[in-house]
Order: sequence, then structure tokens, then C-alpha cells
Amino acid sequence: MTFNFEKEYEAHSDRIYQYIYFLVGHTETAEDLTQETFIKAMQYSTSFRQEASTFTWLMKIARNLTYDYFRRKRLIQFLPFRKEYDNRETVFTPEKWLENHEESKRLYEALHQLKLDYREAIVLRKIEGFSIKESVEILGWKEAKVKNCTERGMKALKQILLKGGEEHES
Amino acid sequence: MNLDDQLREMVRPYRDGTTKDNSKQAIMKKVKKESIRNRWIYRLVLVSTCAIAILLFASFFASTSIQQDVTATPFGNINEHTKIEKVIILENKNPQRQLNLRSIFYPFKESITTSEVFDDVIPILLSARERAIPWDGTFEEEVIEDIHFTFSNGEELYLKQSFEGEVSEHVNFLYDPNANMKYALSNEEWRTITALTDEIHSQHQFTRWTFIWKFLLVIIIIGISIVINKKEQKKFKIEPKKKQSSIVNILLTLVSVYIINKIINYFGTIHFGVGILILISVFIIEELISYRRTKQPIHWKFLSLNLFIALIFLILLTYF
Repeated sequence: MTFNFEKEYEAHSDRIYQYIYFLVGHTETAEDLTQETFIKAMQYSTSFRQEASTFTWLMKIARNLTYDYFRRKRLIQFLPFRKEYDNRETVFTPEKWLENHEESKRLYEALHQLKLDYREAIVLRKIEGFSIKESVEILGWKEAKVKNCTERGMKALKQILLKGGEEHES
Repeated sequence: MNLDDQLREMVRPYRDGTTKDNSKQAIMKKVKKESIRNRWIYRLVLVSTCAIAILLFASFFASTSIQQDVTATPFGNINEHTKIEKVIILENKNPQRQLNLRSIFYPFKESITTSEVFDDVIPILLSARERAIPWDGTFEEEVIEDIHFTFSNGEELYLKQSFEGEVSEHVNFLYDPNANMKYALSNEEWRTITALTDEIHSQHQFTRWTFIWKFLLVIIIIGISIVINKKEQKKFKIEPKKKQSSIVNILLTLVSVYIINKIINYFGTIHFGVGILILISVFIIEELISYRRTKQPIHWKFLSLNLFIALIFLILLTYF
């Protein structure tokens, strides 16, 4: 398959970027990982057998790269020197463009308190609107796990939001 | 608004046109840089493989040719005061072929530097010098033993040992392939030569410790290979590689075994360099077949890494 970079980039880069942002919560990192996603796609376009759509395939690459990023981060956090400088993304810090959207800000903060599995399931199923089949393809999980994580993730998210609301009121 | 709707309506991060354009440029720049780097790696692997192949071929031709002046005198330029310093033996499945037994590329050669039998061999060689008869260069046997002597006066002697005639009344001979002379050994002399070769063989027997060491080596190398393979699969997990069909695997194995057998019969023994060449060829052919079937790119870096590990493994297993 010939990968038309210009076309695919124009069509999907924004959604890929947003998906990564939902997972990592940091614009620069999301931008870097988006670039990385398209680089990998161009390098391995010959291995894409068009069993899924190009977008799903790109999402799968993006997801794998984000996972690698988290894995690297976990590894780096063991190093004492790096620890204090690398904390900026462990807690979600709202960006400027979120300042006037109080509800979304609360949702972003709550999402980043969730387990990564729950966060991934919610982002794909509830925010990006992927079907179960597409989510299975992207995440490489079983259908049951996608359903469970979405359900449990939603429950956990509701609780976090509820707790946050109570704290806000008090 | 319920939570589902809230999530759907969440404000999303926005990238302006300039950011997108810069990002696009950066991607193209990185891909170009990467492709140039990959091309160089590919060229480097190709050039290194060719260089290794040429070196091994050169080593093979150098190691099979015996300098004629080494045995200017039939059965060696020695006298009764000359001492044997070293004896090397190697089974040769192509008797016509002259093997340079000093070469490090014959892993199955065996040698000895001290033996009580050494002094008994000198009179046999002296006797052979006097009573050797012309020889037409043919052998009756298909597998013979090559023997290489190094003497205290700096001379070297390359001989072959076999027998002629019916099994019940065969005569053992020592052949000097450079002088085209042969010498019929008496029973007593034949027993001396056999005692020498037996002593060399017994020194190279597979002991329990060698077995444990080689077994451990195999386990370690298999472990390293599994780790590297897993890393490779993880790195390219985007589209996992299709497994080679078992028919292709069986065919490749059969062809390899056939070729190796033919080569051993042609060269007379296992030549390490040729073994490595076969290994490199098998690796590359397997990757090319896999590429034709799956259309997945060949990962040259991992191929060369796997080859390197296999090479280290073979060297350790053969020489230690």
C-alpha cells in the first residue's frame, strides 16, 4: 500500500493529536507523539494490509507509541535526578485554552486521575465515539475487556467528579 | 446533560495552521533523515557481508593450498636426530584434496605436541624416504586420514594414511602427495602410527566438563536469542510478522542439509569459513522468502545482529 502522507496527515492528524492529548494531558508531548505516529506509519506502510481503515491503523500506532512513552516515563521515574524534573505530566495541569471552559477542565482533571486502562477505554468509546470492534482493533484487547473497562471507568469517573464537586462546594 | 454527553462535548485541544505546517515539515525532515540513515546501514551490512564472504573465500583457498617447497624431499628433509614437535591429524572425505592442517578454519582437526610415540615415528619416516615407491595419486578408500608433522629443524611434512587391497589382506600405506610417493607400512610400523593417532584422538575426547560447558553455552545463547527476538517483535508489533510456513521451513532445512553434505564431501572436511557463508546465505534467503510472502520490510539491523550472535555462538561452540 502506498501511504499518501499529505492526504492522511490533513485528514487525521488533528484527531490523532487529540486522542494522544486525552491520554498524556500535555500539548508538547502530544505533538511529538503525533509526529512519531506519522513517521512510523510512513516507515511501515508496506506492512499495512488494509484489514482495518487507515485511521484505525494510525490510532493503533498512536496508542502503541503512547504506551511506550508511559513505559519510558515509568522507567525514568526510578532515576533520582530525573524524578523532581519529570513530574510535570503526572498531574494534569490545565492549559490556557481550557481556562474559560470550567466543565471540560473538570473532566480533563478527572480523566487523568483514572487508571490508564479506564482512561483509554473512555477516550475511545465515549469521547472519540469508536465502536467496540474498532476499539478492540486499536487497543488489542478482548471485547469483554473493552466493555468492562468502559463501564468501570465511567463509574470511577462519576465518583471522582462527585467527590470533586463536593470539595468544591465545601 | 449526562456524563456521556459531557464527554462527547468536551473542548478539544486545537492546533493552528502554523503548528500543523511546522509539524508536517518536521515529520518529512525526520523521515528523510531516517531513510538516509537506513540506506547507509543497509549498505554497511551489505558491504560487511561481502567483505566477510571475500575474506572467508580467500581464507579457504589459502588454507587448502600447500606450498610445494614444504616437502621438497619425499617424506621430509629429516635425519635420525630430528625431533617431532607437533602432529596434526584430520579425517578427509575427499582424499584427493590437500588440506593445510595449520589453518584455524578446520574445526575438527586434532593435534598433539608431546608423545612417547614421537621417537618411534622418526625411523618410520626415514625408512619411507629410502623405500618409497612412485604413486599415481589415486586412493582406493573414500575416507582417509591426513597427517601434518612439524619437526625441530623447522621442516614440515604433509602425509596421508590409508590402505589398499582386500579387507583380509590389505596393506597400509603412507602417501606423500607432494612427492607422489607411497610407502607400505609393516604391521609394526602401522601399529606405531595407529598408537599416535589414537593418542591424539583420546586427548580430544568429549569429557563431562566439555559437555556441561557446551550445554550451558547452548542454553545461554538460546536465552539471548529469545530475548532479542522478543525485543524485535515488540519493536515491530504494529503488524506482527507472519510465520514462515512449515513446508518452506522443511524445504529450506532439506536443501541446507543437502548442500552442507555436498560441500563437506567436496572439501573433504568442515571448513569454518564455508560454514559461516552457508549460515549467512540461509539467513538472507529466509528473509527474502519471508519478504516475498509477507511484503514486510527486512529488518537488516536485526538480521545482522542475529547473524553476529550466531557467529559468536559457533566460534565458542567450535573452538572452546
